[in-house]
This record gives sequence, C-alpha cells and structure tokens, in this order.
Amino acid sequence: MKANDVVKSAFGNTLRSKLRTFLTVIAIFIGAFTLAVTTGLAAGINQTVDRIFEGFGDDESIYVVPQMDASEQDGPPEYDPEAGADTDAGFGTGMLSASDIETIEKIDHVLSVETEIAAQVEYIETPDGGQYVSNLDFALNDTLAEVIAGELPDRGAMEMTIPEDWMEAFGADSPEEIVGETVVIGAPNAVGQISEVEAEVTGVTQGTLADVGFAPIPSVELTHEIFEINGEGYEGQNPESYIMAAVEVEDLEANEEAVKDALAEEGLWGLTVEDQIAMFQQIIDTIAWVLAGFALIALLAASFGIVNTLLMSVQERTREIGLMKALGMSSGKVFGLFSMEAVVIGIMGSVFGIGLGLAAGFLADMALTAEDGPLGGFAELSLFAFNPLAVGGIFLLIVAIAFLAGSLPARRAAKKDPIEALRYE
Amino acid sequence: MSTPVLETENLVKVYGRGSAAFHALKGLTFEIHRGESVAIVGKSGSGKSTLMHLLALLDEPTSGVVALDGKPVTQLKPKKVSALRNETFGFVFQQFFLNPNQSVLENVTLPLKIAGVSKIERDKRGMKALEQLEMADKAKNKATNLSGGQKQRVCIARALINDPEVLFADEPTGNLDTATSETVEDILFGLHRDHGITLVVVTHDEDLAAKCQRRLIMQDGEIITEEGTR
Ligand SMILES: Nc1ncnc2c1ncn2[C@@H]1O[C@H](COP(=O)(O)OP(=O)(O)OP(=O)(O)O)[C@@H](O)[C@H]1O
Ligand SMILES: [Mg+2]
Repeated sequence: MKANDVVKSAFGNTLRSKLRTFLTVIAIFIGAFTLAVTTGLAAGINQTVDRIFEGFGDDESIYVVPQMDASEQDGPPEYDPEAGADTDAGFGTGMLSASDIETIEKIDHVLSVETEIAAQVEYIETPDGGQYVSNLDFALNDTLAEVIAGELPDRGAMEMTIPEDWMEAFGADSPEEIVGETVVIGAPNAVGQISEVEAEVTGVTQGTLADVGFAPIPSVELTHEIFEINGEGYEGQNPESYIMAAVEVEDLEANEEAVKDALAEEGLWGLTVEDQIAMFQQIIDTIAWVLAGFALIALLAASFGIVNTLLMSVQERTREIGLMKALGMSSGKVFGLFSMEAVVIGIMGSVFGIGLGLAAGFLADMALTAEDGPLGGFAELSLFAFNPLAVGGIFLLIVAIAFLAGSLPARRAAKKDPIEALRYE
Repeated sequence: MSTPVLETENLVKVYGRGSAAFHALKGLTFEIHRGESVAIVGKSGSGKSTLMHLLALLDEPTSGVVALDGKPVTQLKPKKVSALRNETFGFVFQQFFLNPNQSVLENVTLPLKIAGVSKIERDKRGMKALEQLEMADKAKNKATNLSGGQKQRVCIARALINDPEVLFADEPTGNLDTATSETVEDILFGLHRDHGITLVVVTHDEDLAAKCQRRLIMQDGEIITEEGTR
C-alpha cells in the first residue's frame, strides 16, 4: 500500500463514524487550544518585555539591595542592643545603611554609587497653579521607563518626568507641550511644615509592565533635595538608609560576576537590568508552564479517548482487517494504517485547536490592549504573539501523543489472524 | 512433467491442545499442477476449508510442507508470504467479504491498493475486470446494494484483478440460487479455460465438482478418493 493511500484510507476511515471521531477530536482540541493560548501568552508578554527593555542593554549599572534570606529567618530578628541603630541602620530592615554604601564604594571596579531614598511629597503644583497629590517613582527606576516625549531626567539635575495621563492637569493636548515646563514640589518636613522646590519637566512617560512610569520619576538629585526637606526639624541624628543603590561598574561585561560576588560577601544583592528582566520573564514562563501542565493533563485524558475509539474501531472492523491481511497486506502496513488513523485524529484536533487558540488569543489581545481597552494604558503591551517554534512543537507533541495512543489498538489490529478474522461474525 | 504449482507433503493440522486437540487434517500429500481445475469435496467438517487455508498460505500447518512452485513456504518470512498471497493468489470467499461502505470499484481494486498500484492504474484495471464480469455499470454503487449473484461476481472480479496464477474459491456458489450458481460457474470455468488459471474450488455442490478436471474427496481430515485425471 502506498503512503498516500494509507493516509487517504485513514482519513476516510475516521470520517466513517463521524460523531465518534468528533468527540475524540474535541478532547484533543481542548488540549491543543489551551497549549496554543498559554504559549502565545508567554510569547506575547516576553516579546513585550524584550521590546521595552531593548534599549537598556547599554546600562552599565548593577542595582544593589540588601539580601533578604527569608528561609533562614523565621519571624522577626531578635533585638541586639550592641548592633547600634545608627551605624548599621539598614541591617535586617530591607534598607541599605550608610556603611553599606561605603563598603560598596570600596569594591574593585566600582566607579560610582548612587542611592535611592524614599522621599515624601505633599503635592506637585503645575505651572497654572493646580496642586495635585502624587507619589514619586524611584529615581533609579528611570532606566526602566518608557518615554514618549522628551527625555529622562539628568540624575544630577533638578529634573523629573510626568506620566502621560497628567496631560489634562497641565492643560496640554500633546505630551510634547509638557516638556520644558517647571513644576513646584511641596515637601513636608519632620514637623509637618511644607517647603517647596522647583523642578523642570524633561519628559513624559507611559506606564510599563514593570510598574514604572505611572508616577512622576524624579532625578536622583531631586529626590535627595526632597529628602533633605523631609529630614529638617528632626531632633537627633537622622539615620541614613537607602532603598537601593545603583552602582556604576567599569566594563560591566567583564567585571559583573566579580562585583556581584563581592557584594554577596557583604550580604548585598546585585542585579543588572538584564537580571531583573530575566526574573520577570521567568515568572511569566513559570505561569505559562503551569497552564501548559493543565493542557498536558487534558491531552493525556484525550489520548485515552483515542485508545478507546480505535479499539472499538478495530473490533468493529475485524472482518475488514482479516480481508486485507488475506489479500496480502502485511502486519506492518495494518499497524501503519491504524496508527495513521490516530495521527489523523491528532492532526484534526491540533489544527483546529491551535488555529482557534491563536485566533482567540489575538482577538482577546486586540480587545484588551486597544486604546480604550482595560489594559490600554500600558506602553507597547501585547499579550499574545505567534511563536512558530512553540506552535510547531505543540503540533508535533500532539501528533506524537496520538500516535502513541494509537499504537495499542494498531498493534491489536496488526496481530489479527486473517482466518479468525474472516470467521468472525 | 512440469513442477506442480502447489504440492503438499504429509500435511497435518491440529486445532487445540492436549485432550482438546482436534486433528482437522491427518497427513495429506498431493499435487496441483498449473492450469488444473481441482475440486475439494466432502461433508461439512471434513476439513475442506482448513486445507484450502493452508494451500492459500493463510494459515500454517502443524506439521508437513506446502510448496509453491517447488519451494517450501514454511520457512518464508510473514511479509514475503503476504506478498506471495497478494501477487499469486486470488480468493473468492464463501461469504463475499465485501466492504459495505466502499464502492464496487474500490472493493474490486483492494488487492491492487495493497500492492501499491497507483489510483489511475487501479481504476483502469478494476473497470476492465468489472467489464469482464458485466458489472461495469455498477462500479460506482455501494457494495451493499447488490444482489447475491452480483456480489459474487464482484468477488470474482476482485480475485482476478491481480492476474493470479491460482484462484481459490470456497463454496463460490454456496449462497446462490441454481440459476445464478450456473452463471458464476460459467465465469469461473471460462477463466480457467481462456486464461489458464489454476482453479481450486471447495464445494459440496456435485454439479460444480463434476465440472472440475480432478476431485479430491475428503472425509475426517483425509483424502479418501481422488477422481479424474489431468
Ligand atoms: N479454529 C478452530 N479451532 C478448533 N477447531 C476448528 C477450528 N477451525 C476448524 N475447526 C474444526 O476443524 C474441522 C474442519 O473444519 P473446516 O472448516 O475445514 O470444515 P469444512 O470441511 O470446511 O466444513 P464446511 O463444509 O461446513 O465448511 C471442523 O470439525 C471444525 O470444527
Ligand atoms: Mg468450509
């Protein structure tokens, strides 16, 4: 029997009992659909992340936070009066202390260290006098921001960016109009009095998936200035503590590991932008894998459907099998014919499942991320993408599963004795 | 004398084992020559079908030898045996064995499909075989919608499609009325006469047996008499 005849016969045979085939295909369809959606989702979000962070490859910084070893610490750490709050205020609180910063500065290959502090703001005043309540984003998050007009603030100047949805507050029709404006920031001191500082708006941001750019991003200098105001009137020494430090490293590529190791020895944790992206993508991949796991369970169930369907079919067609064998069809070809029927069922299920999965994914993506959709506010967000490798992989996987499931009934068919089969009533 | 197309030596078939063992064939030795027409006759249960299945390589003997063109087939690989059946033999079964959901033409060309012949060639030869049996006008019909005689003619067409050397027919007229039986008999012996096909017919129909050149008369797994000459 020729290969194309095997395929044609197999296809014809699956269409003989349409309802049964349909029900078997449905189970495969569900698995294929789910796999197509989850891999498409993972691909879409990862592509978005890649696209957004593409520009930050040249960022030569390592971002440092204290190492938080949750596994080693059950409950709060015991109070140690010897530790001295002012010398190492950051320890155990998730903050970096002044001495940590000094330590970092002494590490080889470190060119400079910039620190991130939590600055408190009472209001931000637009040029026309309107005052608005707002938090400030972290100054060191600037590398993760998506700027749609102007540019990022100079870390050393009194500058900041404004989120896109503040346009109305500025009475502007386009983001470009806001660039160059000057805002006044009201910051409270320790006893509640407000002092004001001025800052220039250098750019307009759109919020990203990394949750950056939904609030104004101040420059490092501006944050420090506001922090100074926050500390005024405080009696006694203001313990310096930092949320994060940005460490500029000479030749990051060559010295990354060395600096990270040195940081780890000091109980500090260093991450490059790339590391942060990788972590983010890992979370997405993990979620995708969990969903894919459910789809695989569906496929497993579906494979039993194939076994069942084909066993019934082999039983019903005992005579036909006997006839084919009597007329000279080899056992191998009989096996091939029934395996091919399983494969045809697998192909039908996966083609429809993947096809509709992709269609559903793209339609949902379009609806959700449209200008006025629920997720329209995110910059360059696409939730779904076509990943040819994954789609090809799913297809092959399902066909392989179908083939495996079909091999049991196919072997049973191949083993039939032509005489007994012909005697079969 | 030419080598016989089929010969057997001390052919034994035992069904079952131990105390349940049933000796269906008890050591048969005979020859069938090219171009002969041979009838295997005998009472029901005498072992006719069993013998035919062994000759047609559909089953393996418990002991003894079946030789095709002088070569013993017992040592051949299953795949080779399948190919031999496909190329050398034609079968007409007692119960037709047509695939009801396929067309007459598809049923007739099944052996060619198994042999790996292309569709165009298959259909051409299938139509020729159907014409030979005056069934060409039914080619596109479903096999179920035929009368008994028509079905048997389709079976014969299927048996002829690959130009077999030997045509086996198990009770070819068993399911047919007298008139139709005669038509089918005429067709079979016409083929034998005109194409030199070797005919091996299993039957308990006296008339049909009488038309064959040679009759092997079986009883309880043995050939008790042999009638006729070559
Ligand atoms: N698979 C089997 N297992 C056990 N006994 C069998 C088997 N096949 C056939 N037999 C027995 O072997 C004997 C010969 O059977 P066979 O079918 O050859 O008879 P037959 O001469 O063709 O009869 P009929 O004219 O009724 O077709 C019978 O007694 C039958 O019961
Ligand atoms: Mg019989």
